[in-house]
Parts: sequence; structure tokens; C-alpha cells
Amino acid sequence: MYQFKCILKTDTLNLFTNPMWWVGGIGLPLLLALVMGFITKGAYGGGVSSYDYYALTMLVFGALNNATVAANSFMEGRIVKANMRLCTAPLPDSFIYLPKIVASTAFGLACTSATMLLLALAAGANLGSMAAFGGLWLLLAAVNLFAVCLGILCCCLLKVEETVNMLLSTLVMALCVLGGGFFPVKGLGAVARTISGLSPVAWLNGAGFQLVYDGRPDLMMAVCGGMLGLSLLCVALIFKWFNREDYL
Amino acid sequence: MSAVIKNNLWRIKKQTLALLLAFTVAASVAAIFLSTGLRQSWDVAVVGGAAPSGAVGVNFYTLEAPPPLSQLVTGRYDAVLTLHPEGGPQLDSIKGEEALRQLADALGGKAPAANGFSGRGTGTNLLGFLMMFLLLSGSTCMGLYADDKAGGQIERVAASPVGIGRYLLAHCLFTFAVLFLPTMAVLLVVQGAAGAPLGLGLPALSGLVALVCGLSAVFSLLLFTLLPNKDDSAKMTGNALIILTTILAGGFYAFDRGNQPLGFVIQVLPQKVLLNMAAALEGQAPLAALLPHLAYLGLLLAGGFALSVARTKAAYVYKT
Repeated sequence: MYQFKCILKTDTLNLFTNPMWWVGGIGLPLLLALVMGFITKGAYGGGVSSYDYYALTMLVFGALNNATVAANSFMEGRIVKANMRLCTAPLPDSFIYLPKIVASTAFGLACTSATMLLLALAAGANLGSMAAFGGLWLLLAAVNLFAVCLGILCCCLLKVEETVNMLLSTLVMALCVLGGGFFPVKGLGAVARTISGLSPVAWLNGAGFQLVYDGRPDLMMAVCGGMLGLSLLCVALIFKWFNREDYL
Repeated sequence: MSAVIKNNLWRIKKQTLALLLAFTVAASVAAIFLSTGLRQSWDVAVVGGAAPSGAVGVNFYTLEAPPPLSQLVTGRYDAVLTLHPEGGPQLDSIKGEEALRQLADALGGKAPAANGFSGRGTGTNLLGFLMMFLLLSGSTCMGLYADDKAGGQIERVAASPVGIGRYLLAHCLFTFAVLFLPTMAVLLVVQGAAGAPLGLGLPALSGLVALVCGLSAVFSLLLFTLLPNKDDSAKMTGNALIILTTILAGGFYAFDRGNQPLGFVIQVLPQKVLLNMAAALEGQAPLAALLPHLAYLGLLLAGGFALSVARTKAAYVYKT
């Protein structure tokens, strides 16, 4: 257990002390929410503002983007070199990838929490009552965990950092666009609605909106359960496919 | 120069290349579908009675109880029409004033107004969707240049007779080719085999896509020249910039309303200039009208490249 703690500490520090990750984790969703909210201000009225809409969808976008942070915490050149020692040490395989999952999730949670607070307090976006706020945090935590597990699974499968980065960032972008992250796709007719429903992000956004505006956690519970199940599946697959030789 | 390009082809990971091709195909197909297959209509929930007649372009859904507010926020319903037994009908919506006015027109029987997609042509939409993807992909190909800098190979190149200018041009040409050729192949197949209308003729479309690819190459070159790529930081900064500016320029969705304060900033963005060019071409504008746009983009491309060469030379070429 002592070794595990040491590795976890190093991985956590690596993430938390890199200013670039903070910029990407907090700055990007925050800036996007504010800019999108600002330019679509005129399209909303009647109790819901554009900031309310984009605050939530960009929080989901930010949480999903954490997949690239996880991939980098696992595959970034500098880190792989240092981890050579772990690969030759008498440790179980899981000591190499589990601390990175825990550290990336913790980092993602820190970014999500900070972005939520900044959006709610400084930008005045409506993220619901206290209960809805808490529910939303849980939802985003589950999304973070899943994104991290998916990111590391992709690393185990593709084994090349640049490919993983490209795959994940494009995938997150595409799913967010289809799921209504950047404009309400569901308002574009029946065909668009069907396609949008295929994107998991549409469900995440829907669960968030249901929490904030209806005060109902049903969809959030279902989505959280699904995310946890998928995260476990990813970890199981990582366990199966992780290979020290590939990693180096 | 051809040696650098050939070498890049060997160096770039085959699965990266395969993924790039797959994404180009997917993005092109999605862009064509989204810009040709969508028709704007209003979805109105009717509570407490039969749907009124005489509306144009409005789908009515008769419900027992009013839908939850979240379904208005996600855009499932544009508005809720509550019919009271006594008193007039009541229309609730979270839309802004202009959208409400358009909805009232549609309910009154007027033809539907344009929305962010249908207000512009297929070709403009197609270019908007492709743009985000192509611009983001540039840094993947240009990553080889960043690797050369990180690994120190560039110092040998600088000392060799290749010269920094031609070496950087080779990287740009490589990136351009890897982005441009598959995209055009997909568009050719779609237009040739499927006969899908792309809104723009092939010469115009290939010219615009070429400009996007050139912009992508020069932007990523400039990015990796100016910023140290420690921990992929340059790539992340670039991606954030591209996402933000492309959305602002209206790559996905034309934000026509309420952006007056940012109007000038948006007009200066190269992405916006490209979209304006596409719209002008679709509107059968004479070629002469495009010259200022072309000159602006050309200036940006040349300036970005020249600055990259100058900075790289200053950093790596040994002065006697």
C-alpha cells in the first residue's frame, strides 16, 4: 500500500502542478460558456438565459474533455520515461494505471467544482437550487470518472499518444455538437432529434436540465448508474488489455 | 524539400493517418447531411384542447399536462400553447423576442423564417462543419515539426543546405496534402456517385477547402514556432483558440442575432471571411467581389509563414 500511495502522490502532483492543465480544465469551458452565452443572449427570454444553457452544456463538455487530461497523464513522454522504473519494479500492473485514474479524476473534479462555482457565483448562471447543484456535481463527477477511464482505455488500445489525443478530442467535440452542446439541436426537426438522441451527451445535458429546471433526479440517477457501469467496464478492459511492454 | 515530405510520410504513425482519413470521411458526410437534410420547423405543445388550424411549418403535439421546463430548454418544444376554456390562448416559451415574433407569424399562417442553418446555403454549412475539423487536425500533422524541435533534429536541418524556409514549407505542404486530398476525395465521391447537391461547384469548393487547409497548416506552424510544446501545451492552446474562434465565426451555427459588440472581432476572423466567401459564391457574386477577401487571407497566410520562418531562423541558424 505504501508504494501505491507514493505513485498516487507523484501522479497527483504531476497533474495539479501543471498550469496548462488548469487553463484547459477551467479556462476553456468557462470561456466557452461565457462567449457562447454572450453571443446568443438575444435568442433566449422568459426566465431562462443563454448563460444558463451554456453553463450546463459547457460543464459537461469540460468534464468529457478530462479524457484527454487522463490520456496525457498516462502517455505524455516525460511521464512514460519516469514510469519505466515502475514497469521494471516488482509491482502489480494495476499500480501503474489505477493511481493515474484516481489522480485524473480528482483533478477533473477540482476543475469541475471550480468552474461550477465561478459560473454560478461570478457569472450568475442559474444552476438550480442547492439540491440540484449537488445533484449536478454528482452527475459531472460520474462523467469525469467515465471520461478518465475511457481515456486510459484508449491509451491501452492505441498505444500512441498523438492518435489517442486526436481520437478523444474529435470524439468529444462531435458528440457534444450532436448532443446539443453548442446549439439546441433538438429544435431542428424530427431527424435531428433522433440523431441527437444517439449522442450520449444529449442524455447528460438532458439529465442536467431536468435537475436544474424540474428538480427531478430520475434521469440523473439513470445516467450516473450508466456512467459508473461503463467506467467499471472500462477498468475491466484496461485490466485485461494493459501490457507493460506496449506501454514502453 | 521532397526528402522532408517523404520522410514525414514515413514518420507519421499509420494509425494516425488512418484515423485522420476516417474522421475526414465522417466529418464530410456529417456536414453534408446536416446541411442538406435539416428543415427547420416549430414544435409546439398544445395543452387543454385541439391544435389550432391555419399554421404553417408548425408541428403540434397535444398533451394532457404541460411539458416540464427542461424540455423547453433542450429545444424539444419551442413553446407551450395553453388553451383556457375561458379567456384566450396563452403562449409560453423561453425564446427571445425575435423568435417569438417568428413563431407568432408561423402560427398566423406566414411562411417560416430562416434559422441558423437554413438561412445560408448548403455549401456554406458544409464549409462551416469541415472547417472546425480541418483546423483542429492541422496540429496533428504539424506535430512532426514540434517533435523535430523537441528532439533537436532541427539544429541539424538548420546547418544543412536545405534551409529553414524550405524545410518549413515542406512541413506545410505535407500538412496541406494530408488534409486536403482525402477531404476532396470524399467530396468528389459524394457529388459524383451520390449526386448530392453540395451547394457550390467543385472548383469553388476545392478552392475554399484549400484555403482552410492552408490556414490550418500555417496556423499550426506558427503555433509550434511561437510556443514551446512542453506537455503538449502549444497544441492545447491552439485547439482552444480554434474551437473558440470557429464557433464565434459561425462555423456550426450562424449567430446572427445579438452579437453586435463582438461584430468587429468576428468579421476579422479568417473563418468568418471564408464563410462570407462561400456565401458570396453561393449567391453568384462576381469573382472580383471576392478579391478583398482573398487578399486578406493571402496576407494572413504569407505573414504567418514569414513570421514562423523568421523566428525559427533567429532561434536555430548559427550566425557568424
